[in-house]
Amino acid sequence: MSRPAHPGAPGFAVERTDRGDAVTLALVGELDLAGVPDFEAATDGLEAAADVTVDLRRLDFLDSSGLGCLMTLDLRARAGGFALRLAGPRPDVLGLLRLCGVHERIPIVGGPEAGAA
Amino acid sequence: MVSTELIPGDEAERLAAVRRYDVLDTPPDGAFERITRLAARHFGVPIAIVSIVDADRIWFKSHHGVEAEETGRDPGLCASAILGDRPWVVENAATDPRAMANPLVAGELGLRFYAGAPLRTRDGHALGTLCVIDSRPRRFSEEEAETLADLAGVVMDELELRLASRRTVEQELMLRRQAEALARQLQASLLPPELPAVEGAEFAALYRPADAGVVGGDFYDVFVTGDACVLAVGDVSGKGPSAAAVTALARSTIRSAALWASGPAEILENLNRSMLIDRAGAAVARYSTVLIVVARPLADGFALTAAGAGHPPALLVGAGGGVAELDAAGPPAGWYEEAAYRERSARLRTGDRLLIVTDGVIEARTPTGMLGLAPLRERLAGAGPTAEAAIEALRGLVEADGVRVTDDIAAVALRAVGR
Repeated sequence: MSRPAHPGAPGFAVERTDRGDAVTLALVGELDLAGVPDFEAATDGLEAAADVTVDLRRLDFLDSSGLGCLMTLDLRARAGGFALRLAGPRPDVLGLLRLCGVHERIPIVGGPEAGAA
Repeated sequence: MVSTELIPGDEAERLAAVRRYDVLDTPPDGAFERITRLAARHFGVPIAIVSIVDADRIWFKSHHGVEAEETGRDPGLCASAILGDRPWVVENAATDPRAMANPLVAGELGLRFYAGAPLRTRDGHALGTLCVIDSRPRRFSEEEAETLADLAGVVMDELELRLASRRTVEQELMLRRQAEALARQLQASLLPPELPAVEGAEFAALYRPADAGVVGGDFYDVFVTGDACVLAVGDVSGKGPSAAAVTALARSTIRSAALWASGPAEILENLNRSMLIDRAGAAVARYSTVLIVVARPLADGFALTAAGAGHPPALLVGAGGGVAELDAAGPPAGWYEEAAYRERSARLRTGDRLLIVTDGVIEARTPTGMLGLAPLRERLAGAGPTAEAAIEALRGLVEADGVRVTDDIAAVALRAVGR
């Protein structure tokens, strides 16, 4: 099942794909404060999933609000018992993730050219 | 002088109302042009005017079919029309004793017909008229008088609407100014009132809010504890009063932990725990990026120990202009229990500078993407030798054309000046 991108914030969209108990959230564009509500809406009910992959290949920009979204998702993953990973961040985004020690907490797989696993 | 019989009893209040609506000598305006054009067409007359009666003149807000923009109050057509509640009508000025002597009637215009409905405010003051004029005498029925009065009502609605929207704008402006003053006060309480005087050190700092009306989450602090000097720069997620409360907690936690902690990593571990305890009852989870540098005096500068919580690296600017990053990556404070922080060391020799900035700088956007640290490093390499010059290099960068800063920016610079 694939849901359409949430159209709330200009320049940002989340595409959620549910396949059995595996969910992929593809982030597209720029995730800043304006995109937070869309992100939160797309993560509704994720606790029912076993594996959640956040596909970052098409994410151009992430600021501290966006980072907060990933941190909150990490806390939910640990509390709700689903596995979380981040896939294919571009260099700018990867730099920010490393700076904040996200890679020590959430597995990051693949570069921008890798598949979303 | 205007003849006294043309002065309404409420003249002082009426003139105050004319001022309040602030319509005199304003530029032509589509809404009123449409009404005069409509009136002229409907009544089949060549001239229709929206007039405002000032103390000694009658000014035309809209004048269809006549060039003049104002006339004296003395001729007394519109001046008479504002005296009553009903439209004031002269069907044939040549034979009407109220208008025969009027220069508009006797003169070139050869006015014969005049009908004017007062523009009356809700509190009863007549600002002027909507009037129609012809050079031929004509009849004006009761029904036509009614229509003219209705059209005058439309003019008045438009004026009321403008007054209301101007008031709303003024109120918004006032609220905005109050909010800005409050944000400034609150922000000031989150920053040290002045930078300390430390032998061998020169400090400079910057706080630049993204929005003057909203208290931000960025902070910096510089304080002395024992023989060491502590520099802290941080960014609490979110904005507004609830973020400011967490910012105040972060700053006071750093200050008190610095009294007993062995180094910046332990200060951060303490801050992390405090923020997690605080988060338990909070509606919105807050976290903070922080970089703490402890500077201990040496014979020729300072020994630096740094630890970071999700914060951009500090920059070390050598006396010769070389720029290095003092990387101190680690998890943001307030995210998870087991967070551990690492310490990094560096030397700041006489003439060297340390600059710590918040992520508002690297996240600023340019036409090609995120700004990052490289442009700042370039500017620092070419900047003057003082701590203030390093801060000015940063300010110059974030205020440069093509750079769009969406977040607050806080920064602290330290220069070793020798002793």
